[in-house]
Amino acid sequence: MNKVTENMENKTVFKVFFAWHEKKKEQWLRKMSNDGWHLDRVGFLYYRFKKGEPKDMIYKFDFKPVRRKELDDYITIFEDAGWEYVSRSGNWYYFRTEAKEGLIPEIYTDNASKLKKYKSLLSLLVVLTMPQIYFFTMMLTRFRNVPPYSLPVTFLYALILCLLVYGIIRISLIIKRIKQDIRE
Amino acid sequence: MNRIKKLSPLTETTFYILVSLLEPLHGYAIMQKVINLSNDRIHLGPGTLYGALSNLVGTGLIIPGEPNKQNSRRKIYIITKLGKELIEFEVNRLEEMANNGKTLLGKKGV
Repeated sequence: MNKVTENMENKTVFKVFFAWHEKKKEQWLRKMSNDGWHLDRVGFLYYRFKKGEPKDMIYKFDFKPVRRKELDDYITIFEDAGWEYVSRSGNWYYFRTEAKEGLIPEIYTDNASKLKKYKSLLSLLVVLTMPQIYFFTMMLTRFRNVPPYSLPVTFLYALILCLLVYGIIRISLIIKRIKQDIRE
Repeated sequence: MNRIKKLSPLTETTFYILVSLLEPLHGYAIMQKVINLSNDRIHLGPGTLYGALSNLVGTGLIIPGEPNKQNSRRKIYIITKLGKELIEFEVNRLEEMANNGKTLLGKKGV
């Protein structure tokens, strides 16, 4: 699934990570930095890197609907804590810091705040999915044979819906795990 | 009082952030103060701190203050009257817990 465009200084990689693949993405970006490719910009399904000295960089992603006028304050708190703001994609903010003595620093240090992050991600997913389920049902029942109804369209739509529902399940499981940690 | 009972118990993180703000501080100063108060036990991550600050502002326990001139990039926060009342309530509650714990442990001769 990877497509790479590369020259000496820059490299763009097209890669799909889902919201429940945070750990995988962290590891991948860390390995890229260790190879001297440092993340420069994130977009929809692509990652752009800049060539530099190899460094052991730890990446963390925050999901946060931040208002424009709060953005400065938000990023300043991360920078003060030793994190560099790299890029954003939608409500996802990418930060990195250099690994020290093998320690992996965290941006979330208690379960209550971690829980909030995944709850707001979950509510966004639910808000996105619910109307789609409604439209899909309408398409299958009332608007059969009305364009854009066709087998490929229905199939594609069903696939996207399955992915969204699967996402909701995965994020709910993450939330469940954090809740269990809180109770212990 | 009912409002305060609803907000109690505070998480350890929230409690420490709230007591830190008995003097006006910006985010980074809060992190430093909490490290000191907790004898290096609690290092607040920036995600946790930012989230806690917006929640505390949302519930009216702290308010963002006037940005000071030397440090205009950093927003300053200060505790409200409600925030202080909540701390008092929490301190009494924790004292009761600590005292009961101590007394009962003592009785068993541990």
